[in-house]
Amino acid sequence: MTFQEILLRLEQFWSDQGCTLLQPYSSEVGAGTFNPATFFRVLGPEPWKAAYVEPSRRPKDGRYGENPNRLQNFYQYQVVLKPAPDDVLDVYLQSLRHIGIDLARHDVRFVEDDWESPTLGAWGLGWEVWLDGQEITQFTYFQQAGGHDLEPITAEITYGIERIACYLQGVERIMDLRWSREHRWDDLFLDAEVEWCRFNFEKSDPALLFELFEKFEREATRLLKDGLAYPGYDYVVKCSHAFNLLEARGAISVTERVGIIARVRKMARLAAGAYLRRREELGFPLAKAARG
Amino acid sequence: MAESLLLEIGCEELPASFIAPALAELLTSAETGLAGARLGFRSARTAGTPRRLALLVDGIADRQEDQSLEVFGPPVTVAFDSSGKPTPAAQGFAKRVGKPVEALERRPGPKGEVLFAKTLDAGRTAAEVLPALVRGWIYGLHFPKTMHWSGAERFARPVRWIVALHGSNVLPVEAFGITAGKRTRGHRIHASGWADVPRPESYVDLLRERTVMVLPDERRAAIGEGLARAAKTAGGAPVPDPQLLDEVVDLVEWPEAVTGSFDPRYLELPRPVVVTAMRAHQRYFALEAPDGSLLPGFVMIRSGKGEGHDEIRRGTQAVLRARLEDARFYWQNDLKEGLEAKVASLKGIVWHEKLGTLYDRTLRIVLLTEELARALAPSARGAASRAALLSKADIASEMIRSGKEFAALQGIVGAEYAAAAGEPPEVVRAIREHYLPQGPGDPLPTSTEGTLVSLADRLEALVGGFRAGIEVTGSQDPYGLRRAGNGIVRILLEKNLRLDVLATAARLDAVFAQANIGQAREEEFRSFWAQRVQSALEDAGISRETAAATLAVRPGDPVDVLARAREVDRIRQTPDFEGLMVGYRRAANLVRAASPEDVPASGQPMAERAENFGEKAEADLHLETKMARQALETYLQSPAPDYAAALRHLLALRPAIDSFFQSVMVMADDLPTRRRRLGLLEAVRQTFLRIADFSALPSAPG
Repeated sequence: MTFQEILLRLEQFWSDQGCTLLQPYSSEVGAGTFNPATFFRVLGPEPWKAAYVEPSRRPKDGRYGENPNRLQNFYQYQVVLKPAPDDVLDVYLQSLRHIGIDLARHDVRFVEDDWESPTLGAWGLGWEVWLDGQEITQFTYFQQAGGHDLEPITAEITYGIERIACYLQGVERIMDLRWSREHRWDDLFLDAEVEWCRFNFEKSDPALLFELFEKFEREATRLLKDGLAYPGYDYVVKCSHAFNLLEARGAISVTERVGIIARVRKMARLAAGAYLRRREELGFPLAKAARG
Repeated sequence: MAESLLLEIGCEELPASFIAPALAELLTSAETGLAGARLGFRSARTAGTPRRLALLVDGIADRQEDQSLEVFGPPVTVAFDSSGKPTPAAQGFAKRVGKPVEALERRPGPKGEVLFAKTLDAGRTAAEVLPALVRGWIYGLHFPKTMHWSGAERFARPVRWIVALHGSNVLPVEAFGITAGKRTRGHRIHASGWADVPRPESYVDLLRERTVMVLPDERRAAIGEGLARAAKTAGGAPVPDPQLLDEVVDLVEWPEAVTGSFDPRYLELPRPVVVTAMRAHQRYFALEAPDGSLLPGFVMIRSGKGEGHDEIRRGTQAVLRARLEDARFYWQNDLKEGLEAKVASLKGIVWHEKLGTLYDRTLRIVLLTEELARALAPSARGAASRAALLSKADIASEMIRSGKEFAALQGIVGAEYAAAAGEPPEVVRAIREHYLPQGPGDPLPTSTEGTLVSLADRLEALVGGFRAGIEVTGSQDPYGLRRAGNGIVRILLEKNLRLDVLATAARLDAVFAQANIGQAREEEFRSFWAQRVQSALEDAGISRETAAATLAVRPGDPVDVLARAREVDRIRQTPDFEGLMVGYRRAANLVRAASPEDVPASGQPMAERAENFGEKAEADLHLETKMARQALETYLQSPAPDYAAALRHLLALRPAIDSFFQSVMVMADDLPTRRRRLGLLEAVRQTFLRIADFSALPSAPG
């Protein structure tokens, strides 16, 4: 099964479960959680079921394509279910069977993981799901986002699809993955991965990034105070990415790090507040729709 | 017939570390709850896996024991009217105890006679009593961290089913919006459907058929066997790791050992790095050959049984390979740069905003190490100083900075890099050991160099922390200053090293002051230090009062303080001591109460000749004190003072003090005489104060 076929199957499975299939966000993010389809939609009383692929950028995780398992740009398959269904873990396991994993022949385990995003002011409890010792999914019951307590609770399922694909294709290196019938992963992305690593670790301009961070921060704060949740949040996400790049470059000291994270968190709070106020003004339309 | 009870709380996977404490809590609640409810039972035990917390109680009595109660009612004056007829108060009480008014007894009360009745509270049936008890046990569980999943209630993870059986009957229990039943679930993958538990007695076997070993001890034994068998096949033995074993027991519902291997070239990496890669996240057991060397293999414990070992092996090996590959990436990059270069990189890592970078800290540690070496072990100075310079370098290494599982290897990794760079063995060992001791039970550095750097590391952190304004209060100790202080005291005491820590700290403080860093907090530091030594003295069996009195004098050198305190504690047991203290306290009180101009400053009053003293007792005390003081000073100047002998001199002052007070009037009207006598008492006090502040000791009872 090629990488893209695995994706198609996941899309089919979650579509059948009643999820709205969305597309990736248009700005660099470290995880699908940053997509407003998660970060905003977990807030407030409105029900929400969605699934989407998210290209995730983790500049400091790059290894110039040399580590079989680590990339600075990989793909997550993100599912959010709000409220979390009672049988959500069984449904999740069903999705693994659906993409061809014979669970009885593997070690599947839910290993405690307290997830926290200090930049988003978000945390939750849940698990890393292990397939034979490999973390293939992050499963989280969101408890708080943007500093707001959540009710109802959202279940967030984040598949690491490259790793799952490695299993299914019986290869040990992501670089050897068959993406489509025509192309392997390294045909498509190895060049870019190496270039990005050079950029992230060697060539990025810390002075420029610091300057951008400050400017993005000002813009985010200005827009969010004006009640423009979505445009404002876009700039929060840009700040977060600038921070990630600076960190990969080793340009941030331990104490600075804490301060910068607190600044991003403050903006994320503002964004969550702006979004919630707007939804309330609108009368939480999705909640109304669900009540029929 | 005495029935059994089963409670099973079915959950989504609980964190391994929560399970054993929760089961212990459940057992205690059940035992005390049943006893409190007067329901006898034969035995109670718990069982559990990540997906279930269970309680099994055998032979629960059918009914509560009857209870006879003595009930007091209203005063007789209120219970009957003037004509002797029962009032509504009497009738109400009679109704409450279920007896006719005539059958009520009378008992004297504090305010006159009251009505009284003995009743028999007939026990209710177990079936009636148990539901509320069971519900209480469920809600009585505590966890370090809890969550919401639906509704307002919290638990460690979502609760998905509850089994509550009394014999074959379901108890009407509701919790977390779930009505208890008899349905349970087997292993998530291998037996995922629902199954009815007919009776509590069949619970363990029924789950065993459904690939769940519900008794933790059974899993532990199975893991032990599997591990031994798998290791033997691989030609070795598992590296003992009780902590990991405890965790793995509660990570799986049905343990089965699977062996794997890795490319032997990763054995070039330091052993702690390889073992950490296996155990920290993966929870694999490392294997070693009979000669103690690491084998390129491991054992992982899967949850489940039957087929799939090849698939699982392939997967687990691939994950481990990625981790080892990570480690190799860091290792090689770090070696390329070298440890010396990392020292310079410390300039880029802030230690504390007021205290500068880790490089600044390193330089202070080097300075201090050299000073300590001069005082304690001159021959170790060169190697210790070198180790101090390199001691923090690994914090700038990629291995530690990665934030991955290897970050826990600070110091250990530094030593490996030093060895790889060809540093002498004593330098390598000192780097490895300088983080010791981490806690009260932790081993100390074994080498002289390691000891010196460890002391310097802690003292630098302490003095710096105080100058930076870090507060240590109650349980708050975010920078580990208390632990650092305790470490210094422990090292000095256990290694019998003589060091005046306060004097050394004061010199280091001057270094900070010169660099304009923070503010001096001498008093706070002294009292912090005294508390650290005080608790060490008490641990060594010194009484609290003696420790405090001894620490009031020269508290800087713990070995000296302990030696003095031992003798003070001993002398306090001697018959003469309390008598001595009566005189001493009188002297000290007089001096304290006198107006300051009446008391000559200590050290100057004894210039007068003996014949100038008016009374013989006065002259005697003057002479005796002077001699005692001289003897004391001789003892104190010795490198290992004989405090037993010194204290005998103090004890010997008793007759002179006593006869002084018997025959001399201290507060004479004549000022020069008064001054002279108070001056003499001050000299006595100062002599005692060379050992301890005896006035801080409580007077003996009676």
